[in-house]
Amino acid sequence: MKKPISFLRKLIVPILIVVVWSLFTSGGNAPVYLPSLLSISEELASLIVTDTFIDHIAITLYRCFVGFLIAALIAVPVGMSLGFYKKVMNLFQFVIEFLRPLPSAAVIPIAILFLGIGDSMKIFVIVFGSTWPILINTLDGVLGIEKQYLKTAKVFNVSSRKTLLKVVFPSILPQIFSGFKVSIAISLILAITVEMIVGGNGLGFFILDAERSFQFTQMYAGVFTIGILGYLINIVFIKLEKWIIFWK
Amino acid sequence: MVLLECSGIYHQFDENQILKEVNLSISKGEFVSIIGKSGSGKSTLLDIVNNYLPATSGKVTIHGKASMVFQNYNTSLFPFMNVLQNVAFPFPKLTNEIKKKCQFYINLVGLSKHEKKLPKQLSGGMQQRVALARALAQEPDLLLLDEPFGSIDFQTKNNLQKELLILKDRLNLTIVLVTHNVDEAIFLSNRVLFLSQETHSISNDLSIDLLEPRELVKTTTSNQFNSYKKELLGLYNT
Repeated sequence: MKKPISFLRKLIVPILIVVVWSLFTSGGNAPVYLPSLLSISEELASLIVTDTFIDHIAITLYRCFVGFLIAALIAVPVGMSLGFYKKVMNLFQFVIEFLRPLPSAAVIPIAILFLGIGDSMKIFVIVFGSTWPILINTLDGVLGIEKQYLKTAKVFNVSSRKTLLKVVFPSILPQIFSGFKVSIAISLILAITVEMIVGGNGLGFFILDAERSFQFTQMYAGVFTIGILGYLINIVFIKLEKWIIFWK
Repeated sequence: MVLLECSGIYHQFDENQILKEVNLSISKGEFVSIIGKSGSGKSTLLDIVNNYLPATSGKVTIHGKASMVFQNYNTSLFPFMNVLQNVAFPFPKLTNEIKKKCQFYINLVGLSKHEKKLPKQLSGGMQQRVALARALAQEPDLLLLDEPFGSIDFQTKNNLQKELLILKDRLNLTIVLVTHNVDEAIFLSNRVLFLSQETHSISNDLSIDLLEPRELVKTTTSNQFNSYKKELLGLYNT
């Protein structure tokens, strides 16, 4: 009985939003830039079967995931090294603290100068923004690792390599995954942002292009698509987390 | 034959003297308990013997191989490894031979049906058995136990202690147990050493001579047991 009630409770806010939105868009006085949910849904249904829209989604997801993957491949080993070796930490601490608070949008002009306006620039910006949550979480994980795990490994004369791979890495997987969940959302946000600023293709470009050509229903359909994608990606990551971190 | 020898062990942490001129000699086959007040350096001494901590000065000689069971079974076992993987963890590779050896010791501690379970699926006592199997799988000459029964319920503790005595004879082990529990120390050991917080060294070395085989009720209610207990408890009040 508890589950249906909790499910119904989750629906209260979305239903309220639909009701308020419908109140605003019903009747003849609705602003032209706020179409009804029904027309947005119809627009989305017709868009989703077109190759062009699918291409926009695909390219945005491609940038988002490639950027995220590169960020993860950089951030996990670097975070582990920083946490493990104090000398490396001292060496990079200033650079990290300097770069970390920089808004990713601020590096876009620099990235354009060096990399042009192609995919490599867009992915670079995503990598820049997505690296930090994974790196900081990995670092925190290593610094907060259960000391008894390391003691056990040392007392049983286990090699540093095995300790790192078989003890430290799985121990900090929950923290790494927390970083992943934040970073994948940032990757999607940055993919959209860069596409809006630089243009070319992708959902960000599609939304801005629709807005500039007064296709407001299409614009909302694009925004809703991002929301749906973000929601689905989050579900996939939660499932992955449960599957990989099976001992929690 | 002397298996463990500590001579002139000093250990200092920051400004605090933890151990001072600790001398200790343990022969093969002995079951020695080290007791003392909290903070007297019992676990530190064990960590030095086990080469986890360096002594500020002094020398530890072990004629053979040592292995250890830690105080907190819930943190010394890896939660992401199953029973077999935990027991095999110290080995460089899990070959068939190693796997069989680990299974033998898992079986020996009565967990043969649980080798694929994760620690969280086991009770506290079972987890401590896994830690014991891991230590035994190293086939040590010297088994070091750091308060292994500290956080286990009474019944499980008694069973584990009985099994430990049987395993000691069966595997011809020499055991050093660190504990704060005087009853446990007397019941299990041939010798009890008192580590003094005042002198930071072993102030008493008491030989325990009780009727064998030791049985919980019979042994712990005997006059001899109580006389040892009285003597050792007296050391806590000095």
